Amino acid sequence: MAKELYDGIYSSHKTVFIEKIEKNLGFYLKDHILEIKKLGQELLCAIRLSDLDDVCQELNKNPEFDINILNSVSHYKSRNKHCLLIDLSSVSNNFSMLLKVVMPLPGDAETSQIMQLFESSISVLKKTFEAAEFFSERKNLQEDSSDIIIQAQQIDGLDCFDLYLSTEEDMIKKAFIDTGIARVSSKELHKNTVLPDVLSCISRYDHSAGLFPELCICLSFEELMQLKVPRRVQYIRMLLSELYRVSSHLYFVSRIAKIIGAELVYNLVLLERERALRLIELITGSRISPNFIRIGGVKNDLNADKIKAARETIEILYRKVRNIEALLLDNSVISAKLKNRGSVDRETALLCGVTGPNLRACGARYDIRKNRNLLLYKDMSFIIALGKYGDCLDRVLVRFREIYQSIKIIDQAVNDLPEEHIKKLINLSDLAIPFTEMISSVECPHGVFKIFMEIQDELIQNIIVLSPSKNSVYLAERILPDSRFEDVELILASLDINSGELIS
Amino acid sequence: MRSLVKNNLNIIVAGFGCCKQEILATTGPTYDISRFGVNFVSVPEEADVLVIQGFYNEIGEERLLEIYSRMKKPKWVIATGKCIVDRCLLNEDYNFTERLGKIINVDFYVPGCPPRPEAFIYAVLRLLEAGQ
Repeated sequence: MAKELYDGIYSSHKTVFIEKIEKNLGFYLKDHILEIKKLGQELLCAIRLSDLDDVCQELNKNPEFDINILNSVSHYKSRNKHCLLIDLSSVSNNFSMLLKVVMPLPGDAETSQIMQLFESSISVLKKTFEAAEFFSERKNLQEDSSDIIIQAQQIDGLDCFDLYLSTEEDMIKKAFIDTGIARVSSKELHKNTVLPDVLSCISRYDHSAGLFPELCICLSFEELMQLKVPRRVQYIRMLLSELYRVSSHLYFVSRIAKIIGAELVYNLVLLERERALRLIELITGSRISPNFIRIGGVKNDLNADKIKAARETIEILYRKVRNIEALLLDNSVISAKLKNRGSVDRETALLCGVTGPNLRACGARYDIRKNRNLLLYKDMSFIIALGKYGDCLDRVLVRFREIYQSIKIIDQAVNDLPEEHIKKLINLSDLAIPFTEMISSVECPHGVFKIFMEIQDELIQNIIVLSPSKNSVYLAERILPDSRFEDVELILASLDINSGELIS
Repeated sequence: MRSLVKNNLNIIVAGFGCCKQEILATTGPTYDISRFGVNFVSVPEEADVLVIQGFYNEIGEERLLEIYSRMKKPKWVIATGKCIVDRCLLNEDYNFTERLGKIINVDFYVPGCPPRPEAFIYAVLRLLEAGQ
């Protein structure tokens, strides 16, 4: 049994590459780094706050690393120590790493002291990564200096932030997005909770594709235990991931159609989304929050009826979505409404740390389904959909193309589903893990969704969700200036900001 | 007045969360809530029914109370989802009934996490029946 459980980590061509990066880090930064850990396909480096500037400069300028993206900065308390978690990635070298900066503060330090040190760390980071300013306490456009204040609206996706705009006639000069209304989760959330409790509610971090947070947590545990997951399970996971991607992208198209006034398309898209959701419900038993992925497996196997239903549904979906695309984008009036609105160049998108379809719409080829050994995507034949100009039209087009690619993956997964008996690999009540850190990332419909966890015995000590929508919010602030006021709603909707990802 | 409301019920949805996806799914052709004379509006003065769902912090609560006070009488409230009916999933200290239960009088609770679109439509239909 033990041999079956621990007969090796997934074979990966990326593993060798990550090990090389790990060696290089040890060589170039040996005086600054306290500890380097390879956690699955991610790297975690612990450093002191005093070394932050040197380390950032080296990581940015050394061509061996070429780290040019700052994805997020978060503060957390680990074992009576205050720490900063900095998420960095390199598009040219196709890898990402986390910097854990240990702050020289006692465990019971006051909030003002922590904030002061946090702000000083951000100012150090700002020298290398411009995006760091988004994670500081910003007071650049308060209520009194802005002409227009748009409070959180009723439209889904635009309901989790307030928008402050400074305008001249109908052109926007400055924009500021306040996500204060969305920060609802408590600091002590998930502290000392058991894993099944966390797994059952983690899907709320992504409202439109609830499977991905669950998948992320389970993948990190599987990496930690070096658990070999059956191929059939991997195929079922891929099938469901792509179904959720289709459903999320269709919901995105429905929002765009509603904003530009294409009522017919809005209705047709919701009809197709319902078709995808019904298939998801047939397989998982739930529409929005599946609670389906388990460590080392999934909740239920697929039987012949479900496979038949999946086959029938994707056939109809492909045909109908083709029609919807033609109806929406062959219409010159609608295309003109989307074209040249909210254009982003590749450099700006990278600077803001945006990932996912929003980045790919600018022409950057970065998709961790291809770049890393995620699930069994290497067995699947699909292409990364890319845009060119990074405007609203490209963002819609990229999502349509991703839907076709997802349908292609589902088709392959259903046809090549391995015949295998799935048995229970692990009993959660037997878990007794010494204190350890875990990172895992998945390509969710909005970008790279990453979870950092600390666990001791069977209790989870910390969970930090590093979500892509925060970077999309920052990008929105960058591109709204020099746009027309009438396009604000369209530009914000086209960035597909998910309210669930902003709650932590 | 009652018959007017019965034939043209305006709903405003406050907050954000997973329930909103299911509530707004009712506007699509599969469920088509508008066949019962129900519309979704974004101006509190025009709304007859306030739907409370999702997650709230102090800022969100202020907004919710403002929307409720701006709504004209007669007004009804539907609370949907576990986060409102019971305790908030992402903040166990937050209990809607304890905090705002005395200020906002909830007429219908729709349980579920999130409730299905049919459950929401059922609550609206019960409300319309009660209005008669």
